[in-house]
Amino acid sequence: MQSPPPPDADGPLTRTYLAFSVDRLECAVPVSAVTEIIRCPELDRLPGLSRYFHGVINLRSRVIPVLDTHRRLGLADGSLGKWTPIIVLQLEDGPVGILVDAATEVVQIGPEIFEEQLRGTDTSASYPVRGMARLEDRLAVVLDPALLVSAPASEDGASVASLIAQAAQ
Amino acid sequence: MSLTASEAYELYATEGFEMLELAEESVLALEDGQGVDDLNALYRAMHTLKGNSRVVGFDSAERLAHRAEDVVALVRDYGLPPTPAWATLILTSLDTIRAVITASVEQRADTTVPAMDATFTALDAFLAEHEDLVPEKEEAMDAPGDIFLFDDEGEARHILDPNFWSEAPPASEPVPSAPAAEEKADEEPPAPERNEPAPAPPTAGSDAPKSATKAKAVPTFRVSATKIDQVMSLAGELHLALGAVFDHPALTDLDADDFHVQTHRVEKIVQELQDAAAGLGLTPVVGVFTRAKRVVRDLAIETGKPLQLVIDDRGAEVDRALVDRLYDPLVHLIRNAADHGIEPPETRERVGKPPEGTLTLSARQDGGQIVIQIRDDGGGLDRDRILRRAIERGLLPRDARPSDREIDQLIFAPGFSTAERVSNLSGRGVGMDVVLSTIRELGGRAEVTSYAGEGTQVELRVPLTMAFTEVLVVEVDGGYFGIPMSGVLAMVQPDPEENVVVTSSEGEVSLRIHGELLPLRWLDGLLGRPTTGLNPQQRLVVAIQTTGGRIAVPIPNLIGTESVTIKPLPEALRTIPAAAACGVLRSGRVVVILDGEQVAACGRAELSKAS
Repeated sequence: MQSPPPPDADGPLTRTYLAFSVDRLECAVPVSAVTEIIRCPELDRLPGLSRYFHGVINLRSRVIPVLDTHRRLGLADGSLGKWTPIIVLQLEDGPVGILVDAATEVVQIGPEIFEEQLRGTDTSASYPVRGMARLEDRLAVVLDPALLVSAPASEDGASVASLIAQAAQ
Repeated sequence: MSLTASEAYELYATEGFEMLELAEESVLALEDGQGVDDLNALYRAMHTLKGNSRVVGFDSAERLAHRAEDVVALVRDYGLPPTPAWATLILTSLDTIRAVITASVEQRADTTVPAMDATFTALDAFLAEHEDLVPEKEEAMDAPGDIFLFDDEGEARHILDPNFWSEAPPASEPVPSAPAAEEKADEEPPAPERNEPAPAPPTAGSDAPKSATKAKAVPTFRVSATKIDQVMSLAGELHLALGAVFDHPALTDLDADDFHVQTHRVEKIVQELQDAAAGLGLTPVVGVFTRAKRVVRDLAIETGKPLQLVIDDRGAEVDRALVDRLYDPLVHLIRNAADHGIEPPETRERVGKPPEGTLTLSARQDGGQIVIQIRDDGGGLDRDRILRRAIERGLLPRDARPSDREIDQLIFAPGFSTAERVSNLSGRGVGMDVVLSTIRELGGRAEVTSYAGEGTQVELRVPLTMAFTEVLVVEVDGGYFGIPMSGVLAMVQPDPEENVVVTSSEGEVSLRIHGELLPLRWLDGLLGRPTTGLNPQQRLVVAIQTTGGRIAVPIPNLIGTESVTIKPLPEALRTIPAAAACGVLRSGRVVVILDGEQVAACGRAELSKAS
């Protein structure tokens, strides 16, 4: 039996996000999409994968593709080590892992602090940025998990990085 | 344990459909002149339907089942021979009851359907016509439990027309009363108040209908598919987890014979557990074949061609998930055979064949595959016409010189249909290409063979189970890929003397294996990597059977063969050419399973791009 999604504990306006860093960027995805955070196990390469994917992992005998978040967001390639965290997202099409530099904290973000005007600069359907949110002392890029892991039609990743550079000024 | 109303309806529907299926099988078996068991099974099915409908308060279904039961009783108890008219009436009634049950369960209340009136009229007319057979109205017929009175086979036989049974005397086994049917009759409560969700009747095992007709005394019970899947998946995980323990580096230098004996034993048990778990999901393939009987019967009437169906299933079993998906392709192939394969009776007589056309459905297990053949004894394929049509439709260039075998396979090509008129049966827009694509989705292949004047045979080969598959694991550029062993014909270490590389004028590079030229397909090239060398003589090459012919695939780095649990391909892995599924090896590595058909096709596509 499918149970209905639990009601939002913080009311409709505030949601819980997981913040993480990729390069010098602070990002956030809704906690509801996150199933776990793991240390990077052995990553199996697979020729033929989209360039945004690093490979696949076997997580308790489930096959999980792992996204190279640096590349997806048009940032400099990160280094991949034994301790690199992978955030496992549960999406409609199955689980996907995203490689990040560090998972930082769980934060509450209300819709009023989204800086929606940033959205207008890129209209491609696969653009993964929902907006910006102001955390205590810094800005975070709020990402759409499903769009993040879907392979983009165009190279919109680069525009994400430049956009963020602009916003940070 | 109490049931909610919707659970009770669901159970009612599931069991109702099972009873209908059982009843239909019984009618068809009766038509073939089989034993008294079928008549009793049919009667019991109608009786159960009636009782269950009363319990949930579906009056229309109850009344229909009741009336049909009376018509069954004419044959069972009052000496009426089971004429085709009688069989047709019962079959039509079953269809109507099915419609009524579906509608009632959907509405959660007694619901009528348009066909009901006509069915009642036909049943009443039939009863009136044979009124004289029934000595007096026997009210006791309805009492729950009365079905046992008729289980005594000897007695039942003596009431019946002796001529009818002379051909096939019933087996001497006692009448196999489906255990569930007995319980039900016992526990059937008196009609409860309407509108109250009734306690669901005890459930019969999903095999109950078969055991009722086939006299298998193994008790069965119903288990939800989810639970079976869970056991299968846990058995798979256990296998993997143990692999990780036994291969642990700490154990490599362990010097303890006893330990290795024990691990070996555990491995064996886990293997058996896995096999047993896989067996849970298997179901006899004869189930699909039996459902096809009705189709053949209806086709004989629609086409006006007398048809007989011969079933040879050899007890073969397939994955339960496969059974449902095989049904539509089978029905399509049967329709096609009846419509285009088998000649009209006049033509058949002219060429010295019996007027009745024969369709043969056979199944056998071949390694990890189930092989299903649909054969007709018609005139075979008209190759000239197929070739003409293929050229007309642009499926082949004008100057094409395909072999007979290649011409035959054209009937599977999308958009191909040689039907000269749009018939009522096939030619409804879905063609043989749908059959082929369904079979391919199941990881199998289809092949047609025609024998001029003698008939046509379609052979379907599908992996026995969708859960495990034996694969040849190869490494390509750091990634692990699996080639299903079911398609592997041979593995050769090329010998430059014997295995010559030949390039055709179209640029197709082939390797000669056992005197046959097999087009080469490079896995690294397929996966967007430079091919590691054009000197196949130095590598291992596997010959793979595909629908489009055999191909030779050089193996850059062979890892081994392993039985893997098949998992659906994650979305992100769909970019990998020819990827069909994935799995996890004992070592924990992820392997992407390639589809031989697509490997063959990818190479062809590249070739046409280059030329």
